[in-house]
Amino acid sequence: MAANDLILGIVVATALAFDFTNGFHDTANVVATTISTRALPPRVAVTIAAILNFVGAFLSLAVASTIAKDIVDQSVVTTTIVFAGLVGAIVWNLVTWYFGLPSSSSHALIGGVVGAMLVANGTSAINFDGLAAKVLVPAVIAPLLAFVVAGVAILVCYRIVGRLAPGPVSRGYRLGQVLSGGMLALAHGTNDAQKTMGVITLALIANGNLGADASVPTWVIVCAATAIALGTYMGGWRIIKTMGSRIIKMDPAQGFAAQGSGAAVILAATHFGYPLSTTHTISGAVMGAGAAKRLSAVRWGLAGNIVTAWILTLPAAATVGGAVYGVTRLFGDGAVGPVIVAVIGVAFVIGVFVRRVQQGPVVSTAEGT
Amino acid sequence: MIPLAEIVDPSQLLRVIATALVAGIGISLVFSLVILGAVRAGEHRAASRHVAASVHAVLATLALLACLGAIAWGVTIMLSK
Repeated sequence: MAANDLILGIVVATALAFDFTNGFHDTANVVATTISTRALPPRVAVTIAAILNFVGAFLSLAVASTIAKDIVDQSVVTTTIVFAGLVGAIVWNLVTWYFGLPSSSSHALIGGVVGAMLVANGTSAINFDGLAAKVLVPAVIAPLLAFVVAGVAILVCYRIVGRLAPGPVSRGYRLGQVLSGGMLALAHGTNDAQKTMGVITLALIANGNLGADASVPTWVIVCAATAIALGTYMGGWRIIKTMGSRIIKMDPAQGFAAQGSGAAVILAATHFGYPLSTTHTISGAVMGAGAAKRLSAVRWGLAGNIVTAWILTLPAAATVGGAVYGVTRLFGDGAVGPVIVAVIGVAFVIGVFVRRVQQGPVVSTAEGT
Repeated sequence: MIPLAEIVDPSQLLRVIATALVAGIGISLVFSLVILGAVRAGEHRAASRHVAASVHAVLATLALLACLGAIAWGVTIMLSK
């Protein structure tokens, strides 16, 4: 096997590992409120989300090739840069998962690629305007907009159903949560699985396996859809607990308002070609639904930690991506560098999971199983 | 330094904000009307107030149709991306 093909194989495997962490990490946001308000049993909620993520991955391929577009000079992207970027994203996803903090996997991936690109080609290969327009500004707008929309939405809900018997009202909103959560999961699968497809396709093009105008191969679509669905099914319970009950204790109406508003904000933005982070949107919506009922209901200290994680996502993933690229290059152009980093990466992942398991179950009430 | 207005299209941003507000608050409003209509219809039916029960049942049905329309809109957006 040629060195290039070995590197390509490592990149594909790393991309699918990232996709798995994406499902594992981000979809927690989607199902958290459904689980915490007991709209669905935990396993049922993550199974439905996994299926909808899988289906969502097949719905559209239009954004599959747009990852990092307008942010880095794609003409100088190599498989090693893509690999380093993916490692940066995976490491940040695992670190934030370890601490139970929701953060954007897409921003982690972009950060990783930008960091590797900076080390490889310097600042000239980065489009800082694109970075501001596609990452930084939406990162501010998404949570604020979702916060306001969910805040007003829950007040409207309480105004309409406030005088009704609480039993049927709660049952009604729990049913609504099944639908709104389903929409969120479908939107997540459509958006995020395609990013992995785009990364793998980019690597295949860079390696000469596909032409520059080639469409996404079917095996790439199936593998990416399967990886994100499996990650979703595994469930990021630590983040589910943070989103579902640690920020605020939600009632079913708040859960529906948060999910419905989150889905509406994401789809409205997508409609106008302004994609927003699922994580930032649903986090803002959860805080908005809580704050509108009672400001003190929100644990603002935890909310501050989450915002800090968002701010750190880009530079932290970029630092790891840049460092990984630098280490890889120490071993020259061959496959030795990526192989060594991949082995260290697998050891890191196993170490994180073992440490987590040794600390015992975290979310027994939310997991249910 | 490049002004923010040159990086972000303000009119596009305003459209996003307006649509998100209408869609997000709208879906919560119509789904709440589904619950209101269904619960009140049941109460009136139990009290043999058939006209009031029918009015609320119609309200619940119309609001439910609006919700289904919103879901269809969302799926359409995902398909057309």
